[in-house]
Amino acid sequence: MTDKIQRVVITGVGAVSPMGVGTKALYEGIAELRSTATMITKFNTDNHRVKFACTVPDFELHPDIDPREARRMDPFAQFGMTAAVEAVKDSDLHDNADPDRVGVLLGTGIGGILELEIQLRRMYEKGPRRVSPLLIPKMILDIVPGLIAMRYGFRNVNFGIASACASASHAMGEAFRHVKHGYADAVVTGGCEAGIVECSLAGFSNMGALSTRNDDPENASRPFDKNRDGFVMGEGAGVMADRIPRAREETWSEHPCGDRRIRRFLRRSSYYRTRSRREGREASHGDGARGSRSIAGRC
Amino acid sequence: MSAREEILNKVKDIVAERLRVPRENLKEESAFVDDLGADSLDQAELVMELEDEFNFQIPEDEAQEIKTIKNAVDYIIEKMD
Repeated sequence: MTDKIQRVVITGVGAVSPMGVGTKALYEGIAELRSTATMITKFNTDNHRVKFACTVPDFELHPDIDPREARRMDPFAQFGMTAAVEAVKDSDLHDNADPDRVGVLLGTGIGGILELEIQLRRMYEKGPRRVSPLLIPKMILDIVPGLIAMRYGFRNVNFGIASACASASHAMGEAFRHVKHGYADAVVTGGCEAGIVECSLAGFSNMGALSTRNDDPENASRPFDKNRDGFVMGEGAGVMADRIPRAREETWSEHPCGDRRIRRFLRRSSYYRTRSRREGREASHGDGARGSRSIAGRC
Repeated sequence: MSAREEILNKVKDIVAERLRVPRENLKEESAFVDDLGADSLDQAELVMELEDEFNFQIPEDEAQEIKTIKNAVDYIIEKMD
């Protein structure tokens, strides 16, 4: 622990997104300005008002993760772990940090909602004795920070953060603070979500939060546009490793997928604060802000 | 195929699927925890699957005694009789 306020740098990134698996796919997709909104095929949407979303195509678990472990993970955790393994491998945490000084803080809005849906159906159809003993470890919101810590032996701060659409932003802000103020040397942080399941699609849709442009999914997501009619659901995970810099030049190495510009931006995001808004719950959903606001900027 | 073999095959299918173990590695004496890497949650799930497949309920104290594939097969045969 040190009294000095630390600079915080990002030394590793990992992603699972509707652009594909990995930061390279994400970066290339953004560079191409590609829309990923498509018709939902993983369940029948005949009776749903909204029939499209940004789903992860052809998801493959990170090859370092044992499929036996993955059997115990809801898709949201599989996304999170795949991004986390990529981020930690990309960083210098796995072989160059004191595990007692490395924490994990990840955000998710609704966690393992698919598993909850499956097990609720089982319980109503077959009775409570048929509910899987894996329900709780598969659905709880803080399972991914736990899994990451168990995998790498990181023993510093560890919990999940839930603040709707701002969950991952809050997690990254809190991770930043933990490192900045010396509570940890490094924190693995970010968020993961796999909420495109029947009941949550219906829930968001029925509260009027989603765009209903079923005839034009590609142009449905249009924040700040006067013809915006709601948000488009997405899924995936983004994880990064925040740490105190060991040496200035080490943080500037060229990333294999050429995302140096992204890093530069994140590195400059050097303050973070949150505050509550006065508006009610209905004002918060779908606008990425919830009842509180995360702000990052340069100081 | 004898009735026992049939049950053995079904149990092996369930164990291979649940514990993600190659089916050819499964022997009758394979122990779920010691040989196949299962833990208490896996065991609880296995028992639930056996109950579903063979259509009977296994009381908790008896479930704890089912530690190997052979134990499971013997238990099922006994119940069916």
